[in-house]
Amino acid sequence: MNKMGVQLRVSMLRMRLAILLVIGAIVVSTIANYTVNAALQGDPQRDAQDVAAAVGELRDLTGDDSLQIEVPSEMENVNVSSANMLLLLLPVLAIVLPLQTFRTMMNFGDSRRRYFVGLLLIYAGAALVLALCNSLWWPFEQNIIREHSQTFNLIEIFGWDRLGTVGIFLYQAAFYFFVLTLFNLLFSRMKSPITWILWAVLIAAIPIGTSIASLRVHVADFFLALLFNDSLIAGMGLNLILSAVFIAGAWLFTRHRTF
Amino acid sequence: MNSVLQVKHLSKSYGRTEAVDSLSLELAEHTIYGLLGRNGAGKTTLLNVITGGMFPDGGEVVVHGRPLRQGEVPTQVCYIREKNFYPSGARIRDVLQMASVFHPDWDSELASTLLGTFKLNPSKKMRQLSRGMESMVGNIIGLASRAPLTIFDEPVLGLDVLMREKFYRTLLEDYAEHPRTILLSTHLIDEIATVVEQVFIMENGGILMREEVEHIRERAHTVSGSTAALDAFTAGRRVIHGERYGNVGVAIVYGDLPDDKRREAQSRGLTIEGVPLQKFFAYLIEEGQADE
Repeated sequence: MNKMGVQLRVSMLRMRLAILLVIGAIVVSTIANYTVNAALQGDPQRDAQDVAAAVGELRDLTGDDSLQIEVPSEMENVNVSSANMLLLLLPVLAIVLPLQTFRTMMNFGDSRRRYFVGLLLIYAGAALVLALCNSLWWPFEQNIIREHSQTFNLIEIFGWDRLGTVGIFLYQAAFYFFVLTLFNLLFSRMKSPITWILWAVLIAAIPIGTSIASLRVHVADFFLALLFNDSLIAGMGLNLILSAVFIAGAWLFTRHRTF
Repeated sequence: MNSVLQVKHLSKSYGRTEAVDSLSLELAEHTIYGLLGRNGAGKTTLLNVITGGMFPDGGEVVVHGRPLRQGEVPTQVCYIREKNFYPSGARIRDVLQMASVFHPDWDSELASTLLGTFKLNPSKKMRQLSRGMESMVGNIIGLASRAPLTIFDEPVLGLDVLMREKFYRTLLEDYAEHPRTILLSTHLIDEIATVVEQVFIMENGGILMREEVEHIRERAHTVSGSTAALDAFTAGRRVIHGERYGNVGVAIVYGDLPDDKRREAQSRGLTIEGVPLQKFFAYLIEEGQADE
């Protein structure tokens, strides 16, 4: 075992509960979705008769004969993709690790610089693994899961499926790394007033940005460029440039972080 | 003798509270030191600054001849904190294995032997340990690290008397075979008196006294007798504590008392005895406070 191995081991020990909770949430959610879908998939003819009877009763009660209820042809629950639910680990990871592993590693005798490099390697690994999971899950979801239930997946929502298999993987990895480094910055030095200012700016940015018409366009453009970029290189580049800025900020915090 | 650690005019404050106030000290190689002080004297802050966990407001720390820059952690140092931060879900053997990575002189055989000596089950998880057992895991790391500068902060916290004695005995045995610089921070002077060679007594962020334990024993005296004789005898001497009961009194005097002075005391009807170190330590700190 080397120092990186120790950091990985410590990170796994600190994250074990969070990983189990996320897996538990995925299992519970899958069972709940299956149950709800099964309940909704009844006999359409009998459902129509039940609805007609209910409408009749309502007409009698209200005396309004024009009362109608439109029943959609398909009454189905739309679920979050299970692979997307794994992405809950992104913020959890970038909150738990800076808060829970810094002191442990320093206590063992690690240096701030090596700890920080190790942390970034863990984030990069996590981004790649989660991107790979979702990329591998995506065809399975399209071809098999959607035979039985409706799901939505970030790959589809952000239009990454236009970028091909490799593009899907790379765009996701860059975006997940961006999320990890952003949260890492916000939780690298909680005692610093600069962190509190960052928090305040971020919390205020979205409501202010969306409520002022002149800013709204820029906010929309920013998110379009960040998440819905038609160019893989431009999309990844923006995500990675912002990640680099967050990494620089987090390093300044970590370098001055006390025990 | 080479210097392992030099602290020059070190200062560290928390708001308006000066935790360490222009403190200077030097540790030589192959010596066991004691750092004594009450709770809140600034011991842990000093140790955290020395080991790079905190940054000083002023002054300099030089470890193994190399100035410690802000954000750096000194190499070849093992610091066992009073409160451990090992993952609670980790087993003892895992914690020892992880600690070994950070100490190039780690002695695995000694670590295994000490697990047996201190009756620790290596399969137990950290969260299952009592406070004393936690201390012992830290102490095993400190001993097995064989770091040229090993620092223990309150190493016997939560340990019963037998375990304390066993720890100090083990430390001395290992030190005899592998000399290095060890700094024991505690407030229990009596317990470390047989272990340490020199003590630094800290109070209000400064060093109140730096002395060899043997010198303290030789120079600290309890002088008792009539108040008139006591006053005459102690005039011009350093009296760190005094008590009066009617016409008789007791004074704790610090300084050399050669044979002629002892005879003079005897002729005045005064009795001279030694002072338990823990009492001396308490009186010295009381005196330091009274002087402020």
